[in-house]
Amino acid sequence: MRDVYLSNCEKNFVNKIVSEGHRLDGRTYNESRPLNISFGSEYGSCIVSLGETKVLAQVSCEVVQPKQIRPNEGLLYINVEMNPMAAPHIEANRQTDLAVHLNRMLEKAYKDSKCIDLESLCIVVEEKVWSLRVDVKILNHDGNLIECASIATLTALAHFKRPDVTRSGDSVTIHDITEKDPIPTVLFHYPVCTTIAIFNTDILLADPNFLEESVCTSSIDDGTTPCGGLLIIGFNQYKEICVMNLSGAALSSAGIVRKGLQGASDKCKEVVDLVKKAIISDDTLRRKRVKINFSDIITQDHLQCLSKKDLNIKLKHYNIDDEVDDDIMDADSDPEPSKYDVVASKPQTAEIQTKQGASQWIEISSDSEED
Amino acid sequence: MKVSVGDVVLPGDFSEEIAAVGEKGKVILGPGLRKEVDGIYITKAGTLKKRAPNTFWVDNYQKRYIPARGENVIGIVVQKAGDIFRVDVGGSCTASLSYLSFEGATKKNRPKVVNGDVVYAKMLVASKDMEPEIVCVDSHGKKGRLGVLEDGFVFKCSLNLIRKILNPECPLLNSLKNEWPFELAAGMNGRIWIKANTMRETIALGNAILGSEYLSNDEIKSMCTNIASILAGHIS
Repeated sequence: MRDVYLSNCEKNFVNKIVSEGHRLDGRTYNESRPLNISFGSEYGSCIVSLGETKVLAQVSCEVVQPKQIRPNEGLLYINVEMNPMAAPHIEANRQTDLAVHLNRMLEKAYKDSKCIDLESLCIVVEEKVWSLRVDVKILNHDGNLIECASIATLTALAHFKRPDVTRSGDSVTIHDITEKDPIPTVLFHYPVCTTIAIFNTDILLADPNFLEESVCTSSIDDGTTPCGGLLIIGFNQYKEICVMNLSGAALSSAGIVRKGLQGASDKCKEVVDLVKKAIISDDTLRRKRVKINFSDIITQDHLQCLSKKDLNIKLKHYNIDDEVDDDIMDADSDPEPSKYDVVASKPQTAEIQTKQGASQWIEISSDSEED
Repeated sequence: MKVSVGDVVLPGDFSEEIAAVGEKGKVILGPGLRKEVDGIYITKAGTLKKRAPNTFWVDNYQKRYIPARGENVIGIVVQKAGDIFRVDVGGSCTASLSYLSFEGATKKNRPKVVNGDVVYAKMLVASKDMEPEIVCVDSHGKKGRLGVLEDGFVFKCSLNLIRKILNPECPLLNSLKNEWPFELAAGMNGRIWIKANTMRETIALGNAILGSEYLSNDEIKSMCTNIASILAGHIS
């Protein structure tokens, strides 16, 4: 993985604006980006988008031999893949630390928390069990990958249905979906992970975007500002902790974690409710034989629509619908004399010269104008 | 497939139109076109465009910068290596910036540049097989507008948006300049550096620039007025 280069001015600006109580995209500290879940044509495939972060998850199943020590339990594999499509700094065909970390977090949340009833995946003890495989593909990386990936994994697992199996004597028949209704996966509880970025050791930001994530984990050269970190917390709908992971150099007091946990538990519950609702509504649509596939999101989120939301830099009250005011048009008709001059100094540049002279780097020397 | 100017083209398509013009006179092939022994081939997906007399290129939505000579770019200094700085300009490899290519710099008088600084520079060498080289002075040794950018904020956007706001017909900068004072430097590599008196004004500026990507000229004007009224309204 190539380095992500972060300039000092981005770091200083984000740190300053966060300490003043704002965020770049106009959100409050505890506000998440809009979450959107859409399903594919098959059971167990979904695309989850959290703002501009997008993750595709697909569950598949096959019949395998169980492990010797657990002869009556099915298997669960989670596989995370990233490629340069997600972000330009990710290299192709190379396992990055980020992908390994993500994989481990998801395994902790869904395998180690025992949320899936693996015993129900057993067909013949010591001989045949179902093996579920979750393929998670990162489509776009704009921060908070773990939350987006975990929602995608959970939704895909909860949405997935495996073919029905009948045993008669020694023979096992796997029925086609058209023959017999497929069986949904049994989930004991629904864990969801969430990320909290810690700034200046005491400011907590929910759902950090890529810039906020890289700023809070980056070290500051002069060493004056204390560093922050990322806190990953996983909760299920009963508000029980499933995962917790702290990276960076942030932990200065236990109060931070407690503060983070309170916000995260409510948020995770909301997300789980949303996932359940999405699956139920998808199920009713499928029963009515409405065709569902990913083409829906392509038409919904085409290029022109993207401009209306998810700007990375946004004022809190910016809303595109307010814009069309008729009285504005009158103002355009008589061009006002401008206070500031736009000068095209060189080809391909245009700069506003302020009369207040806010910085030193533009020196409007007389000889440069003559050139 | 055979294509002509104005068509939506795909890699592998070929244009006999350009080849025919090329037989008569000189033709300039822009991004997305390549000359092979048996004709002109398309290497990018997009629309084939032409500018009189004989310039052709493929236009598409793009975020990845491909260095081109003479363009002004914004880069981040990532490494000091002997007498050059390595600068990330968003291309496939870092660009090199000699410490002598600053105004008034000599071997003894080194410019003050540290890692993480943002520089506004001009592409001097942009070859297909070599590391690009950038400079912070013009041919007279003057810095003009180039140099290290201090404070402010840098954000990334698509290359198309940069071209749009630098287009003299785009009303964005002209509408914004009446509203509040600010400084702006737009690099052709899809990075914009902005600076205003307050944080809120800086964010409003970034918002206006990013928001203008898919708006028409009239909509841009009304958006700028709208943003200014939000700013003036003191709604937190």
